Amino acid sequence: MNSVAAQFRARDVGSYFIYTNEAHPGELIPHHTSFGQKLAQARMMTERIGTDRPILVDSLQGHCHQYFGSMPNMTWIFNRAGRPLYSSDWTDSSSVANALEYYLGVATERRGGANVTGFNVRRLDYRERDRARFFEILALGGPAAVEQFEAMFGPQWPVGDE
Amino acid sequence: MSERFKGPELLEEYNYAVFAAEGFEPLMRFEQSPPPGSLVADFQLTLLATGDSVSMQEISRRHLLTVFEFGSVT
Repeated sequence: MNSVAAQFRARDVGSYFIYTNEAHPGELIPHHTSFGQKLAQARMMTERIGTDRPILVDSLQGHCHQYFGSMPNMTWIFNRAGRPLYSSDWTDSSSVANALEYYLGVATERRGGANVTGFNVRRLDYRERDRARFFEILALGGPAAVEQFEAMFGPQWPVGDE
Repeated sequence: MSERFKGPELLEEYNYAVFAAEGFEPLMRFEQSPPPGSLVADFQLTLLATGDSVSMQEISRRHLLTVFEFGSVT
């Protein structure tokens, strides 16, 4: 997503990361019990994972995160009027880039005088599943984070198609 | 705003200590989230770099399009 942010920055697209609750808390990266701790772990995230996008930290109760559905790694695209145009329950850089190209194209058409109006689309996008990377991130939380995930989904996760 | 956003119990529900279905599944309500094109509530967020409180709607007004990715370390 950092590369998508860089790719679209010059075209008046802002990119932000909103830090939420810990999806897989463990011994090393525990659940939040204070806002100070949440800020500290957000700083840790920037050091360990790295992002050149501004980090926004949600309230300790997750008011913003919960309002938008509480998914652990979702992405929303807003227009300048503050209305959401796109929301995905999982973040995939190709899906986001595809959507941005589309909406930038619509903006160009509008500037050219096109009389366009919105309509709703429901579709399923596809992403590559990188099991090794997922468990690498999960392990940052500590052994309990990995054990709890495997207890729920099994050691062979992911299996099958969705 | 929903009753789920109030009360001290929400803090512990939202910040669950153990990844277990009974802890996180009730929180995941993407299908009930605001639809595209709708007016949405504004939220104050903390800009990590400065500690300043910033409005999500104000940030949106700065750009033609704004991408908000939600996530954590784990």
